[in-house]
Amino acid sequence: MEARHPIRLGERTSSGGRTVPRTRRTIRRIVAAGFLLVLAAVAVLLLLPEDAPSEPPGEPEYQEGVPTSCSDCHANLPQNLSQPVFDFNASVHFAEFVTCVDCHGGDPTATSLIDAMSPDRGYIGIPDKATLNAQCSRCHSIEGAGYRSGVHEEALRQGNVSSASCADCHGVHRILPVGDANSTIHPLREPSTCGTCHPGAMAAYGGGVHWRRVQDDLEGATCTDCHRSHDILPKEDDRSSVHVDNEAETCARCHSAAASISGWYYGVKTDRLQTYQESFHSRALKYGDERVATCSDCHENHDVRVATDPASSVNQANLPKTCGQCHTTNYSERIAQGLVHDREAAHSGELRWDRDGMTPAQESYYLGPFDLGFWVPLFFQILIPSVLLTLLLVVILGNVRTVLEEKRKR
Amino acid sequence: MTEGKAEAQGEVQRFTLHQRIQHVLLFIPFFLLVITGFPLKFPNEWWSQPLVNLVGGWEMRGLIHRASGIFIVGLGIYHGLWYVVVERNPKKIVPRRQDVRDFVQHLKWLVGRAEKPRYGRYSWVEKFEYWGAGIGMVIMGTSGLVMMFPDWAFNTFPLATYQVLWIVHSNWALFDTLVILIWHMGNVHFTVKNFPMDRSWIDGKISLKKLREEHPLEYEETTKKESEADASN
Repeated sequence: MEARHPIRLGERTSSGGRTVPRTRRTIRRIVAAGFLLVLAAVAVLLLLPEDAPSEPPGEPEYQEGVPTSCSDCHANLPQNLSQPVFDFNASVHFAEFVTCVDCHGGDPTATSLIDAMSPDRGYIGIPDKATLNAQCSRCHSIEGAGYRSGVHEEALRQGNVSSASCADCHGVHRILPVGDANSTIHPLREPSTCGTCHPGAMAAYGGGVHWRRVQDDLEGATCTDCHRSHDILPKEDDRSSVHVDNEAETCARCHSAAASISGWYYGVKTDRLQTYQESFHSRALKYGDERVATCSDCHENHDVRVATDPASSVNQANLPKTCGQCHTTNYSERIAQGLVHDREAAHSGELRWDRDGMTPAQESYYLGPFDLGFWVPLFFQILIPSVLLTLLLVVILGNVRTVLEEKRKR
Repeated sequence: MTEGKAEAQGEVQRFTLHQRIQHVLLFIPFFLLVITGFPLKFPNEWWSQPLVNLVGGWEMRGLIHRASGIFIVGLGIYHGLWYVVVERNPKKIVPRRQDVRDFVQHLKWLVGRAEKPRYGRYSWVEKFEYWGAGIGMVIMGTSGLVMMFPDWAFNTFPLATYQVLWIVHSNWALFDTLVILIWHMGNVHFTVKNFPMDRSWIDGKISLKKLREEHPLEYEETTKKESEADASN
């Protein structure tokens, strides 16, 4: 052992400034270099994140060759080019991670202006209406399908470029959910949104009771409640919610809904559809006579007012004119004497000895103390079953007796 | 029972050709009025639309109904005038006190408490139907004629009048139709003796056997006249 390792033995025995053997020096250097390397690596790792904040955040400075996003540049451009960024950042789409590219195309990861907005990378600039509708439908497929079956899309297809696209109603960059008071389709703003193109309808609607209810508590009907929002169809189309065959059901969606339009709250009667269905108009309509009056023919379509309003088409003073629209007769005021939406339940049968406190409509039923609207139906309800049962019994028993007597004769 | 006499053979004329034609001219428009009127009263039944289609659509339904109505009112007026002016013998069909007694006795007979009443030419059963049709014509004719001219009616009466007339017209229609179904069918068609029908509405004849059973007083009158005629010969 000793003879084989003379150096090691000599080291142990020697002490002080004696020269270190070469092999050992090499090992020290390697260890020191390794330590320094590790230290440097740690220093680099520690220092790197410290360097990043030193760059100003969102700096718009466009540098050729450095990847960026649309808003990095656009936010600092003149207002017509920067406003879309601010609008978009406030929209529901921004919150849902929709990006500029989803509508405008292009490539925000490109390292040059030319590439980022190159048609080769799908950049289309401002999409035309048809393209825009298709793009919105990629996510909003149900609404898109409704829109495609509607009159606005049809008009676009026929070349009417002023027909409404998605953006015309919902806004362009700052699209907000319906509940947001700044949304273009919020109940308080929807009429003016539609009124941009349909000013006549908006003006008429503005005088009606529905708009007053919207202003009171947002619960009145707005455009889309009757016309639907996406699959809007002209009233001539039998699939339209305002087609003569469907209009009564459309109005009844609210007007028969006792829970939401209850008499105790609005004073609105919820039996208007049933009472209409008892009328001759409704019966004729059922058999395909489309000339007859439905709700809007008497109550107006946009300027719907309560009957007590002197300007209402169904105010008693105006009924002769309203009925005369179809019946082409100069009606006297007698046409207003009676209840158009009449039903037996409206008659109590109470004996009245005077006309105090009666409306002209009620008064017209007045014949002595008897309310004919109550007593005449009651008369038939008693007459028909009682007489017919008696007759049936007489006929059956008569046959029984005849057979019995024949037997007895034999 | 009282079957002393030999079984009567042969037939006698009960209805004249004139009466039989009136009967046909009455029930054809009546039937048309029913099938064109019921779809309007009951618009939501499974048979409503098929019935309207059957008569040629909505417009045709109204036309047929009005034409039949006018015709039947005209027939009623004609019949009344004929009976009073030409026939001059309305007594047989006018209700008498005897008819009330017959009616009560008939009810007793039904429960086995009396003999069957002995009826003359027209029993209370027939008078009830005849005068029911007459009253029906007045009620339906008046209300129908007013409703046929709504614009005139709206300007002449309050709207409520029109609505009450509709209730009267449509309810009486239902009543009339069911009375015919039960009473007329039950008395002349679906009886154990007449089924499927009494031929007298076609040829006007009634057998002496049936005349004796159903109208014994008239039978006796007829045979008495005949025997008197025989005796005088």
